[in-house]
Amino acid sequence: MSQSEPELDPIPQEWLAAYADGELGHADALRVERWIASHPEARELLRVQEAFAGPAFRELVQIPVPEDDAFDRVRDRIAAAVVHVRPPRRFPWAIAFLGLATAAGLLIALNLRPAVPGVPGPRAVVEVTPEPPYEVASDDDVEIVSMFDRDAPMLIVGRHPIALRAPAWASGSDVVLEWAEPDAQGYFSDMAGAAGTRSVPMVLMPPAKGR
Amino acid sequence: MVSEPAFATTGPPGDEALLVRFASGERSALDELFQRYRLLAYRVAFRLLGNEADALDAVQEGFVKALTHLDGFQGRSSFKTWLLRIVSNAALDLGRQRRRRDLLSLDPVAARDADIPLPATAPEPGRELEHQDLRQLLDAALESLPEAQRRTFVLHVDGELSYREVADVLGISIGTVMSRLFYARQKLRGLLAAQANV
Repeated sequence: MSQSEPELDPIPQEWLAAYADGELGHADALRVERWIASHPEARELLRVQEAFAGPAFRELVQIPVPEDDAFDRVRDRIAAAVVHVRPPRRFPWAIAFLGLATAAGLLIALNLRPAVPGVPGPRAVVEVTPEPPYEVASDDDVEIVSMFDRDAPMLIVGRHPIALRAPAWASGSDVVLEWAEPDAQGYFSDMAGAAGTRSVPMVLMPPAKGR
Repeated sequence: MVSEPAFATTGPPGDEALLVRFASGERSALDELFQRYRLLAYRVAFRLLGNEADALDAVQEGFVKALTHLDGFQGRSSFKTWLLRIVSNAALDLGRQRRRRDLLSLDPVAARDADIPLPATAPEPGRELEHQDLRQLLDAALESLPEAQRRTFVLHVDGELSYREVADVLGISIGTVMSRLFYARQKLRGLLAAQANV
């Protein structure tokens, strides 16, 4: 009396596509092989997947390739097009960082002065006048090259409906600091240096006057 | 026995290096990038559009957009996946424009019929499919797939992108890539069987 084979767990049939393309891991590929060994209908499905897999399909239905001249003309038109394209304008993030750092430093200095017991310390009242939002780019500077399907419902056409005075445009990890300049005392802002590693929201600041 | 001296081998420059050179104005870097990816980009565009002239237009548009919007991909993907994403978008846009143009130029009856993709020349019954017939059949079958399946199939098969890369390009999971490919192939097989019996 022979012992019967243990029952195999069925595999998702989509795995047959991944198996045909060599995209399954070793353990999952073995599961597929065991499954198709005992299931002829799965073998037929696999045969279809293999017939339309990359190399087989490309060999079966070869695409007519243009002459080199045709490609050369395309290349020259690309070269002509890209040299006339205006380089993207970059927002001077370093200025924003320095502005933030200066403001933060000023507030800290005023509020953390050592207090003398019994003598009320000076209370600094800093009046902050909100700056109007700084225009990073106008709508004709923006071209949506492509987007993920999942982002399409979030696409806003026209003015943003939430008129925040100081919107957060990016987090620190989204920003690469390309340059920074020292303040009047020759110091660089710690905030500027650390910004690229932080994930806190960044608030857009207007650029320094005179630049 | 004298062993061979070990030489440092210098392979072709990576895409990143070429892009840096391109950004500094080196035309030869653009030439090299184009040479490297022109065929992949063309194959993807051709399979989505079905003719050489439109495919070359899509390749041109894709390269121009990819090279002028480099900020959009840096650090998030490779140049190849970025390029093929834009080329496939351009090809699908061109295809939609072409269909609209064709429909506008046709009378209503012809326009209705134009929605049904048929090979230009149906093979005679009993005759073995010639290569050209087969390609036309497959083009028609591919065109009748839902756009998401068609794009996934073309990016993987003709763009030679891995499941992970296709998933990144389309913003979907690897499981979805797997599923789209499985059902796309099943449909292709069904459509081809139906066409061959015309």
